[in-house]
Amino acid sequence: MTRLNLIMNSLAEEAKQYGDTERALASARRRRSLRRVAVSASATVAVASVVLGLSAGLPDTEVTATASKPPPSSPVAEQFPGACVAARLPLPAGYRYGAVSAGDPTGRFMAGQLDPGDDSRRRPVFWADGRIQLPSPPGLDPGFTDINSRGAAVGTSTVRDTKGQLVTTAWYFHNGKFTTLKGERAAASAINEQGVIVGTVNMAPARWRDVGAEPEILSLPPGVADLLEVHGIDEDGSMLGIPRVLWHPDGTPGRLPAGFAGLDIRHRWVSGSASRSGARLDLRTGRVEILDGQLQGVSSLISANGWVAGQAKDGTFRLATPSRHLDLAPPDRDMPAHGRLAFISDDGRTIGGVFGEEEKAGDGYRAISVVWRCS
Amino acid sequence: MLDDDDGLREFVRLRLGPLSRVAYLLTGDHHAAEDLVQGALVKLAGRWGKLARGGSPEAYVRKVLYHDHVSAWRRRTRRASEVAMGEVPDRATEGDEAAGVVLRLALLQALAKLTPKQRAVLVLRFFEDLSELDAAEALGCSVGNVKSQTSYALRRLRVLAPELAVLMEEKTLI
Repeated sequence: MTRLNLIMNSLAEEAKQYGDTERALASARRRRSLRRVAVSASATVAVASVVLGLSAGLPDTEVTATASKPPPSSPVAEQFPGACVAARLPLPAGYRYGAVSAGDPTGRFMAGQLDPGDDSRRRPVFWADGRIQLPSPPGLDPGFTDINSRGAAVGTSTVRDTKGQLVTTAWYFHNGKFTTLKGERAAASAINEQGVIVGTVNMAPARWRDVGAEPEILSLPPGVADLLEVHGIDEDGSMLGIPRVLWHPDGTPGRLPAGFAGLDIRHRWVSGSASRSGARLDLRTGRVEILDGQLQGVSSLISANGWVAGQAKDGTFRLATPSRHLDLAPPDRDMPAHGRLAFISDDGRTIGGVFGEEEKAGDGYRAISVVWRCS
Repeated sequence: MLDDDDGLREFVRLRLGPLSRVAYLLTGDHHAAEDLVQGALVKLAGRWGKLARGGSPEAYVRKVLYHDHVSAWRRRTRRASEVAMGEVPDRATEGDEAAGVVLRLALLQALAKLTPKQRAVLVLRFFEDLSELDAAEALGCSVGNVKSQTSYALRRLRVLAPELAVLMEEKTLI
């Protein structure tokens, strides 16, 4: 079973038992008798009304966010920005599209993938202080996942294993050179300033203490059977995983507070989801704060000062704290509303993301990369 | 007739769980999944006599489910599906039973951004674990079409949910 199977199974578990055999039999009998008297036109209407009658009884659950007020002396000392200006990321000559997927804590380094519209010619791209590099990672379809402030990046590609199956492989990139990380079916999620890397090996959570190290498989806390994802590593070595797992720097597994699912970790702040809304957790105090329903809890990023970047319920991007928020508007008004965010800098003032654009003809879908600078 | 009906009841008793899960993955919504399954059961009941005597009820109901999903969406306007994309259903996140809710929501959100056919191909290939040939059979299309739909879906996920695209590529393509 692959991890995608695992996530799909996990999603499918939310399904209820649908359908009613007796009603279906009654409808079928009715259709047959209607056919017999040759009044076929009304048959589908009868079926449709049965179906509607069934689904009308299901109540919609209300969103009841239990918002906690921010503390009087918020740990966010820095002034929240007044505005963010969006600009398209520069691309090499000949390319109009590309998806940024990672950035470093200073906002100096970014990485992603160029999209020429032909899958066989997609290639990775790395921005260092605005200069464009076109590195060649090992394997097929490489993707950068994280960068530290020294410009050392990690990412994952697919390769064929000895049985000819496509499997993932993880790598490290620094000063123009790639190094493949050890471990079968490895995927790298994040790297911290010390160069410690986290990800998965054979679907198990793993840590590489440095680029040449053997992967160390991390144990799961009691009650957690399957790990779905390792999301990040903090500067003190704490590691964040789904579901609700926080490993201490020594590798001991622990749990995040009940009801809080973590997505990103930075300097003891964790962003995630609680009470069906975007939320943040301060690991120093253990306090969970709801972002007032401004953000949905599906994906979010957190800066070192606790500002959370994510998507609002209408799909637009926002930078938020429990008391403030700022829209991250696209650079062009006619740009489509949906996409995803890729990174936020430590000071919360540089944010990278992608907007998806439908091709006017055909089934194509192209990425436009954007960087917001906030002040 | 009574025997026939009991046969159908037994078949549904055994298969309703898996059918419901597929319907939920296809629609991402309990109401729409209910409609999809009920519609398929009505069609199954209408043909049960013939199917029980030598057809393949399993293959038939799967075909109906996927076909109805793709054609129902086809009838909607492009605009309507764009609006639906932004509305991610809320899920409770309290407690351990909700573990993994965020990644599930990410998948649900990513699936909502695919066309119905792309979504159907992903469910067939990555949830039902069918070969390209069997997926083509279920959708009533060619293997080439299954390949191209998988590739289009992957292209979208690379932009919108790269972590899922990597997981997909572990198993598929090329």
